[in-house]
Amino acid sequence: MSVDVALLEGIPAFHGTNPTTRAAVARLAERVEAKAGSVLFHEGDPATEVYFLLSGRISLGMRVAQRELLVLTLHAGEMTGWSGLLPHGRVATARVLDDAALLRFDGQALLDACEADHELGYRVMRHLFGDLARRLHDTRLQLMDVFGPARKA
Amino acid sequence: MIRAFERARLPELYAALSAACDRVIGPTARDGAIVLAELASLDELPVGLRDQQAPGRYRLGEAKRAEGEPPPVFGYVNGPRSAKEWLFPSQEKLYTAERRPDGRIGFSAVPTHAPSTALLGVRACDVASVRKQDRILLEGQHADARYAARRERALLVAVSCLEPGELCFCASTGSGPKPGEGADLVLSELGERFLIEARTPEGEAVLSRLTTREASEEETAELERGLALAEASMGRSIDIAGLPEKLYARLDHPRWAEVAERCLSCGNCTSVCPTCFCTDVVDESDLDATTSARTREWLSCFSADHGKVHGFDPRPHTLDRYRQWLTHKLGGWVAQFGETGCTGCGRCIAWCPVGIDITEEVKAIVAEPAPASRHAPLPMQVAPPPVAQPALEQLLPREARVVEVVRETDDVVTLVVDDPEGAGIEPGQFQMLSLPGLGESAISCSGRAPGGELLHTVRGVGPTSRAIEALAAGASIGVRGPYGKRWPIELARGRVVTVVAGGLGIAPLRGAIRALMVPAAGVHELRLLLGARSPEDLPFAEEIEAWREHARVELTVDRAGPDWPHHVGVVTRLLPLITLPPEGLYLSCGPEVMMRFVANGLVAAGVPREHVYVSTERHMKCGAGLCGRCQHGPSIICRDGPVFSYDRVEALMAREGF
Ligand code: SF4
Ligand code: SF4
Repeated sequence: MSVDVALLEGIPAFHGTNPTTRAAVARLAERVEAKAGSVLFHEGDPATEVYFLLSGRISLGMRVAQRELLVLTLHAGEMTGWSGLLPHGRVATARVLDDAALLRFDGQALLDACEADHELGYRVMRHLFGDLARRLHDTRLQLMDVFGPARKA
Repeated sequence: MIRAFERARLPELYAALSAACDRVIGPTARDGAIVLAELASLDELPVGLRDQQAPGRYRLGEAKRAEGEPPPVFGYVNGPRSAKEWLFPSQEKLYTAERRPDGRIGFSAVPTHAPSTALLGVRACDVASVRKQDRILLEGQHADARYAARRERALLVAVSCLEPGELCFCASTGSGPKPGEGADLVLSELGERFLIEARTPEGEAVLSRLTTREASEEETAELERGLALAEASMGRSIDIAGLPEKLYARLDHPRWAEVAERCLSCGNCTSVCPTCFCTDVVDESDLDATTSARTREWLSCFSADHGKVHGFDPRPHTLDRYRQWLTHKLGGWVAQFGETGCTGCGRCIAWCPVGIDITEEVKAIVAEPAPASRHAPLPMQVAPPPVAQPALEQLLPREARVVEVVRETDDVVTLVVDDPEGAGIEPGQFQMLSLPGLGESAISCSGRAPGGELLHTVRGVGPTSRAIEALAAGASIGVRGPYGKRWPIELARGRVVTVVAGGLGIAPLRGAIRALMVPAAGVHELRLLLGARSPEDLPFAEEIEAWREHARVELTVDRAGPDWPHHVGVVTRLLPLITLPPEGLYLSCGPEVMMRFVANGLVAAGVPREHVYVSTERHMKCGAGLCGRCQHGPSIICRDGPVFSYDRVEALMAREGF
């Protein structure tokens, strides 16, 4: 494990942390590559890891009846698999759309680091809060179905 | 030069007017009010009568008169109806449409009833109101052909106001008490004598038939004194200086809610107002649906239908509607037509059943400094100058043939319409498509077929658009236009151009995208960010794939099956994928909420609002900027838009109730 600290530069979640903290975080991270068409994790899998996308694209899909429905595409800089920070399994399936490079963390290890260093914890959680709020907002817009047929006269 | 004649010679004036015109319309006393009606003789004038007015009150009584003075001929103030109804009738059949056995449609204009008309006894405020309507109906890019025919043959005989009514405030709106520009003749009643002044050659011709003498210096001085006294004695006023800005800076003033508590949304104020010009059209079919007729009617902005588009009413509450009426009359009007829309006639005060007084409301609203607002200030546009040679607009569709129907998605088709008359249409402009008996829809042109035919991409939502969507090749359709402003393609040269479209918003942009791709457009770099509900709802899918040769294309949908290789998520999520140069050009079209988030995202990234263009939509009923339905604050969308730079529309786009 451990990656070059420079890799953290592209991840907004770690912006604002001090060099020592960043070095500690870098020691927890692992750089992984995933080929287009592969699956990062499946809905329902136990969730132990979180990912930050360095490059490439990931799609998130959920099963509806017998079919998988794509609900979101993630791009470089974004996090995926945040269920790895929570005590439940994967809520969506993450498929690699274009060859991707990711930073992988053990969810518990990242949580422990945040617990031990509240400065880091605050930065990470604050970023995640912003990220999730944005996703919630976008989801609301998707739910509005603004492109659907207008209400009938 | 001012001439004079004795009261006993008044019949000469009537005779001269009757000789010059087919009919003489003048004041009469009917049903307890002063009503303008066709005069069979001067005996019908309301001699000695005066209408007493107060908020919510109108009563006909005797005119006061000084000792030894005869009862005044023009002693009244004004009745509920004005010159407007003779020049711009409350109801008028525009055309009939006939569906022939071979399926083709014939449209025939109903000839305009335009007898030459002398309007006698028009008050200064109503002379001003006629001119205000001229500005809208005659002097824009499109002139209403029917109004033009009647106006051309109208002779205005105005009367000076020497004793204003209780509700008058024309001095403060700049419309009286002395009749201004627009009158052909001006009469002033001084007891036993009348002074008369011809202001136009037509007025001169009438005057020359009368036995008059030169008015004495004493008489003209008496008139001047009387006018000055009248001006000074008006009990009401509106301070119109800077009023549009003041009102639009106070759209959240609590007074709007207070007046909305009292207002019944009855629309009386708009039906008596001599300047209100909004109209609706009603289509009626006969039983076997082979012929139908379209009638135009006055419509109040207090009605639920006024702004409704696709079943959505942008102004659902009385507050929204009262605020719309008042901010338009005294604010938006200035931006649209270069002057206030109020003449100070006081009618809306007298005829409001609950006595709401426009002068009081304005005072209350502008009394205090504008509160800080979380909304951007609304920029006022400068009214375009009068157009010297407006196109005469008949509002009459022409028949066009649908040569082909291309199914784009489940509920969207593209009609290929052979309409040589519309050949000049440019990307962003729209046409009115109609089916007899069903109605009309404003549809943006989505490009041109290789043969030059116009493409119209339509989603069936309401009864009209559903019927249009269901048309087959070979069918006939009614077409009017092109109308509206186009995308500013010429600004694209040398720039990075980003097009953001969502849903059917791609249709009005397709022509622009095609134009931006040709090398002659000189675009530095082109990017297309396109959103749809699902892959199946994306129109022009094949063409979009071909665009990848000339542009960076990013597609996103709200939901997709597992095989969708592009993006899923809202269109704004695509913005971080590209650079957003501030000096770039940005064009966006789609649902209003989408355009708002896109534009705000661009602004947040440092793009000036002036570099972002959006295409707005309101109730585009006539298309030509004549019916008042597409009001949007200071803009008339059919005339000033639908394409606007974002700085012009941001403030209202973010607001409810407009
Ligand atoms: S707003 Fe009222 S006072 Fe002004 S012109 Fe209309 S009816 Fe007359
Ligand atoms: S202001 Fe008066 S006249 Fe106008 S809609 Fe309201 S109640 Fe009716």
